[in-house]
Amino acid sequence: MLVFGFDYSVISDNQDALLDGLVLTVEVAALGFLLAVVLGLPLALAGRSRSPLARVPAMLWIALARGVPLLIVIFWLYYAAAQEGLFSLTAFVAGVLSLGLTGSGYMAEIYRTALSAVPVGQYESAAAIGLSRITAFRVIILPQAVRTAIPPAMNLFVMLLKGATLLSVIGLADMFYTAKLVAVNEFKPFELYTAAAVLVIAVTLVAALGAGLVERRFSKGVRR
Amino acid sequence: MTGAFAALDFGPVWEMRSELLKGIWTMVLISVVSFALAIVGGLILAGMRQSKSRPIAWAGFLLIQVLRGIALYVLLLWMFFGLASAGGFQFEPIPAGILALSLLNSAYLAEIFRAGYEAVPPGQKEAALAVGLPRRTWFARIHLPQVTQITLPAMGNVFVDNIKDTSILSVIGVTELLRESQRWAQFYQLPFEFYTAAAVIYLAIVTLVTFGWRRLERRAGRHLDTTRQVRRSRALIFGIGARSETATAP
Repeated sequence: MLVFGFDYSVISDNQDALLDGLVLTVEVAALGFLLAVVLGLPLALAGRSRSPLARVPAMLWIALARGVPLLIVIFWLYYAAAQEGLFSLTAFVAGVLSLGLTGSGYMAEIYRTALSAVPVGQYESAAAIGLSRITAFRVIILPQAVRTAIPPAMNLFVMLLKGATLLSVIGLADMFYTAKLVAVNEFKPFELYTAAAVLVIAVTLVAALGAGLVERRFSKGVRR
Repeated sequence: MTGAFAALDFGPVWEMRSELLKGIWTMVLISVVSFALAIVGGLILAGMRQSKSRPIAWAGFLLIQVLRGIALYVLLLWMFFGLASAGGFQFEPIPAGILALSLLNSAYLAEIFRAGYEAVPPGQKEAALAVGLPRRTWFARIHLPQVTQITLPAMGNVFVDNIKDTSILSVIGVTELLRESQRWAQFYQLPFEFYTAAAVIYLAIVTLVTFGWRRLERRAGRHLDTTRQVRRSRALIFGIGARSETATAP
């Protein structure tokens, strides 16, 4: 690293701006994740529905969310919709929405697998003791499913965090945006990009390791 | 709002079809080459993790964890704008993109291979050796087919993600599908038409690959009696197998 002559001062001079950008990235990812968690459940339920009126749109949504690359969703929400006069969004809102919509497809799949992992006997015995379908779902099925859903949901958060780094392409003032501005002014691209990369990677790594820990924790004591 | 769509004009998209097709071709090339390289890298990393030498196993573990935490966009920016300017050289966009993609995906594949290797019941090995099969035959005829059958669904997920991730290479100037769409969207001032077309094309390709991959899975498991149940449980459009927890790639 020192072969290149690493100039730390340019980083410490701009550390506040860089860190603000990092916080912004985490914020967008967290809000997008929240949106995905909220949208995912009704999607998963609609996807399991017997009525094709609910099932087909839900499956289409999931297919779209999982099949279209995030970068295209971002461009679509930010540039394409504005051109058609549908709506024009700030980079922040477009970022949250694109992460949330893409994430919702993945989250629906996570809920679906988690729900089908609940043994059939649980449904049957809930019905046998006279619980209504809604009560049974709320107090018996869902709590068990959530337990299975948490580890993959954590992985989804890591994925969305990585996706959130893309948002500087539509001008969200995140760390890479700042790094680019400063790099152009001071002509120290290596220092700035390295600092930005190391910081982002540190955050995603911590999240990924956390996801791994949670995964191990939650698979403890589960019979397979 | 209803009037807004009256102005839609997909003519230019059709006119530029040969350019978009070139972009699709680049995308296909990059995804296939980088996936092949990622399989090799994944086998190496998985082998490192299984190694009896402690430091090598540890290095493998560390590499996998770190690579899984790196966002493709971050890696590309760093390589392309940071590293290259410091070293005073330039990356060719396509090789750099292939390198970055295969590097990151090899970590996901390594985890999948490891899990698949361990998922084969130990009784299979014991039984094979007990009936007097040589170890080589056990590995090639008993173990490997089962590992393949187990890992294929998760590998399919990585492949699909890999295809989608090639779109990120547009930021370093690889003229794949998104870059082409972007260029013509700006040229014609028709972002809606071009980005919608790009989204549809990606969706079509991903759907095609998903179905093709499922055929592959069925073929790999054709002699196993579980196949029919497996197939039924995967009856959803996009569930190429349950997403393995260890491999949730972007």
